[in-house]
Amino acid sequence: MGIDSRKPSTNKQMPHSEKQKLGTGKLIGRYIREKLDVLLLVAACNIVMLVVFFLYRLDMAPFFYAFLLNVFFTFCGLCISFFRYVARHREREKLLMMLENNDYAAIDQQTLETEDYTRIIELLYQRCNSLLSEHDFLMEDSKDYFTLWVHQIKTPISVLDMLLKDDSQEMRACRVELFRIEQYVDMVLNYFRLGSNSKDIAYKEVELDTLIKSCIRKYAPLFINKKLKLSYEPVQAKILTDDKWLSFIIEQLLSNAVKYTSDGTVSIEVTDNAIKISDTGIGIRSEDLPRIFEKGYTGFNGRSGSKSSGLGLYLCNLAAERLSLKLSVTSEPGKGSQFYISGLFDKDSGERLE
Amino acid sequence: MGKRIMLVEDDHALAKAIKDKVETWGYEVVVAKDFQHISEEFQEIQPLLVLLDINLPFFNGFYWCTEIRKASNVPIVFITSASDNMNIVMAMNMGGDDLIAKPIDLDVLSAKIGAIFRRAYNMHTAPNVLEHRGATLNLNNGTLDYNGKQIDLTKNEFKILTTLLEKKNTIVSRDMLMTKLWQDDCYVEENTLTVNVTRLRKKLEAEGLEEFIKTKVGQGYIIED
Repeated sequence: MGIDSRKPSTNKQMPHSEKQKLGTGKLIGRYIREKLDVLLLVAACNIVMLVVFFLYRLDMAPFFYAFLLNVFFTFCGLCISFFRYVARHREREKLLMMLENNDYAAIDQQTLETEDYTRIIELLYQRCNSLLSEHDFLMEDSKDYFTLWVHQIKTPISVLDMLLKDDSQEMRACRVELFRIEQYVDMVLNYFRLGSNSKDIAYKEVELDTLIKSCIRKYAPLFINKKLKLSYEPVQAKILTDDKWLSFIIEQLLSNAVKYTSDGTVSIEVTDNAIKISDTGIGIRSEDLPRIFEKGYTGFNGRSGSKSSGLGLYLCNLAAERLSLKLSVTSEPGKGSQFYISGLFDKDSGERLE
Repeated sequence: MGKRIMLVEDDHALAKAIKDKVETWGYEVVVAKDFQHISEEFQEIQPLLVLLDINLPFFNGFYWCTEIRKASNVPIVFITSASDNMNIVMAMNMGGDDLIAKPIDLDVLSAKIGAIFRRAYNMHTAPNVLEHRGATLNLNNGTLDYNGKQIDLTKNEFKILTTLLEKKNTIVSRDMLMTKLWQDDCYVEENTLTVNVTRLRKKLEAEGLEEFIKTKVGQGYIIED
């Protein structure tokens, strides 16, 4: 059954800075609520004065005059304070937006509270940065190790390849297994190359026929071993592409075609706008069809024995994207599948010569 | 003058495997021993061709290439690993003449060595003809000569006959024959192979070469003395 290990959905939530945008009306409301203690204090002072004046039977007129002046000055004071309140709020909003873009600059310290919080923010920001650097370093380290590993293992594979050159049935069976080992090793290398953002694409003009033929030659032993037929009509076409990655895609599709076909024919056809690789294999169920390019998706493939990594087509798709090509597939369970690599003959990338 | 090749490869098993195979093609292979003094060993051995691995202990292949080039123009073929990310232009810029990647394809290696010996020393790899029971297969123009008559062969028939004669006295499996044909971009299937062999046999019999190719049931075909 299908194993679904899609990568976690990229966070398309509203950025933090958008979440709490407050309009002026709301700000006034909040300010008043926050300053309630001051207001109550002023009110209380005035009430004290009112009561004392009243109990002393003093003339109320001066009191009311003083009271009005109080209210007036309090109001002015609160307004000035309110504007500073709003300004500081906007400053902090800017800081929030900066942090969202991984940038940071301290804001004016005005109160002990701001100072304290600023120190906390700075600490968290530094921690975050060092974790990111550490992560990048570990990824590079991992990639370097695997590159070295691939390099090292090619040597014993090469030795075995030469030692198993005898023509007996056991040797041929061994060579087939050795080929499979080699495929998995190449897969590791390509996994890391496609995973990193390295720009190792080199576009050049390539004879499509030559490229396809060399892919076929590489997989010939697999076809012959499984007694499958191959049909390919040579074409005359030059395209602009990276031969390394295009070969990788075609070889992976051929490998799948052989894997999932027990008998019949695999055909390679170059049409006006695509390379079509079709087989007469077990096909792909329609439920699985939209998901086969997902990382780690294995679907129902009728192979209860060996485990598929679900990475082959995923890597193919990545490589295709890198070359600005598109992979698509149609299939009929029990009849066969057809894979298309399209976009090779677009205006900018190539011309077909007949 | 012996056709001496110097092999600079630090992995013992790989060096031995390469040496054994290349020597069956008629060359003499000397494997380097001291990886700190390769250029001195080169002077002692005086090879006509150097197979130079890039990844070596102490100094890498490029360094030794430069060193060797100071005193000699001998052809140098680099052995690289796929992860070296090298191509032939880089190899040549580094002073090499060619390169071959691991895992080493013996057919390709044989062709490259042969080509270099031809180009550099005007030496032809032996032999250009294969012979059996008086019939000579000319590898240059793909014809079979017998009793003064020239028998024309199709591309497939020629390839099949060449393979069987190259491995004279050993059984060649059908799979091996099919692989050889596929390497020539002829994607034959089981039936096609049988048809080709039958036609080839008929052609041979027509000229009087009966039972040239024998069938070993379940194993393949053989041409034997």
